[in-house]
Amino acid sequence: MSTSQIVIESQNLFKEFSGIIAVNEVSLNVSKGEIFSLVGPDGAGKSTFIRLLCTILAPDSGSARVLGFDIRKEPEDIRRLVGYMPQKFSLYEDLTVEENLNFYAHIFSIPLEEAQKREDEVLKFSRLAPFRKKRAGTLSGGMKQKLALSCALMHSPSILFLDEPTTGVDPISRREFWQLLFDLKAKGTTIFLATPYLEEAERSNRVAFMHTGRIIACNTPEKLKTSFKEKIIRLKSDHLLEAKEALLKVWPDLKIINYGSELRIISEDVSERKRKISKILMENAIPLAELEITDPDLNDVFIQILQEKNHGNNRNPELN
Amino acid sequence: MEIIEIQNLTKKFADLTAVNIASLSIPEGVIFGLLGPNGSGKTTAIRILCGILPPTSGKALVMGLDSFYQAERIRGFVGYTSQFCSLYEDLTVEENLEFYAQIYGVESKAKREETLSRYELSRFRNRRIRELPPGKKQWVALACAVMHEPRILFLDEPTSGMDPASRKDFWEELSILKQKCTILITTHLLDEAERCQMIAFMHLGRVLAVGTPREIKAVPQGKVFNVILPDPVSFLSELSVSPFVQDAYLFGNILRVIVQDQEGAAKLIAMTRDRDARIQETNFSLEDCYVRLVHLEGSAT
Repeated sequence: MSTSQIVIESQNLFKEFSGIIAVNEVSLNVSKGEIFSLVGPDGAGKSTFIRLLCTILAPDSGSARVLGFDIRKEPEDIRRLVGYMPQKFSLYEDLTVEENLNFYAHIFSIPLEEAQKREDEVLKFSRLAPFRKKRAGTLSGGMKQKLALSCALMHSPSILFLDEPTTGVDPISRREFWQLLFDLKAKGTTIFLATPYLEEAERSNRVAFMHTGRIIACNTPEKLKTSFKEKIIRLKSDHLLEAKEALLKVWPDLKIINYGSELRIISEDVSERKRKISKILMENAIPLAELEITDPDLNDVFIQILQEKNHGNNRNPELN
Repeated sequence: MEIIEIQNLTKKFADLTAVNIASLSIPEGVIFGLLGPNGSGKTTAIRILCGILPPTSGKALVMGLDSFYQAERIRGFVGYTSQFCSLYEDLTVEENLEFYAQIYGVESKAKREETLSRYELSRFRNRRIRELPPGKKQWVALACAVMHEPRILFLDEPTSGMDPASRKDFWEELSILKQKCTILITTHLLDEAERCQMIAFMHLGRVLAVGTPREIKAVPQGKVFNVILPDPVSFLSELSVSPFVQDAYLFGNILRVIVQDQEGAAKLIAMTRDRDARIQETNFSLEDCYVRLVHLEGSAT
């Protein structure tokens, strides 16, 4: 990162709702122009954390600055400068694309003439210009997301907060949506998003894993993956569970997950292990469809870190 | 004869052809992943296979029987969870299970109890569906669909909105169900598609490709590179006007570049020189294959 101007700075931010801790002493920094993803299970505190930064909710303790402004003392300044696309973004389904944009221009008190100009820019950017007269309700899921993004962009925010932007969106629309995010980033916009999908997190510059209100790991996707000391052996067979059983008989402590129609075996000495696996399966007359060594993906890393957390031993402090 | 056979199947709604599949067979005991944008015909195809909708023309055979006209004979062997949640929101978890038990003729109360505890739903039994978190609902839907031990299970976007840990548990369960059951599942997540035995990509009602994930990734011609360098954005704009580049896009901190052949690769490597770049050849991802197929389709029509 060439310029590392910090635009989000959170220190021990804490929020509870009637005894349930949603955000537990979270500290993190985000630099200008970064795409930053917060990943975690339902109820991990992702949405609450975003709402604290957007000044929709007030924290119980701790502090945060967004674009240099204090979230407690200067919420008005922050709201002018950030865009927020909540999980269930309210589009008026019976209004047209254009009318929805007008509505958001109005909310942000953008003068009429400027709003017109901004609308053209935003529609060109999101490639929705041909659909400006269409009712929002008739758009496809992917296009609705683009319209929601366009609405959040009307007042030209410096930071964009997105809560689960592509849940339920197909891969091609997701890629198009991300293309827009990268275009925004290239113009200097900072993007902070929450997502349950590691596929999505992997497209970000940095990722933080959130669990029960805390950040349990935070780094670039590449570093998170290389911090994972083991490698993965993928095994596909029509007799998956028999294969698992045969391997566990030889190695009772083997880390092995059955995942759909494949087994994922987590191990350090993978090439030696792989040789032995084919031998064991052959001895047990279990036919093998595929057996290959691969790098761990973010899913593997996340699940591993989660398991370590649950067992109380933080083996890898360098992740934080 | 495979457990599911589709021949020249079409389904029209007024002027719209929702499904138009020349042929597709699904062997018994596999997890079969169906991918495609919303509106590509996945849900309609599943509804025809479940016997809920009649086809406009052609045949859909399930266990050798016509899925619609012989639906009565198939029903007991099929389980289905809908993307829009097939549960009664104002009934409790237990009441939903009882309802499906009646429909499928599961008389044993022990079986219901076993299913509840198997999916860790016992402590939610008196909760109304609408009070459950979305991830939990999908587990209830699965419980309702498998209580009668079907031979075929249709799951329409079961993991949408599920977090990574629940998704792992869900797919772990699928690998156990698969022992006794063929599973047809739709998803928008390509990492899930990787974990199916076979997948098909649908687009505008048609099946564009079908095979194992490995087979599908072996089809495209070209070479894929991951490039990591200090200023990927300006390099990307240079690449976008370079004729030897087929596709280039940012993926986090990585620039993914697809070139035609060895010559293109050499040109790319030459361009990265003096840029402090790390470049590494890699394989086509399922997403690359999918995007390419849809673009080819788009330029053909």
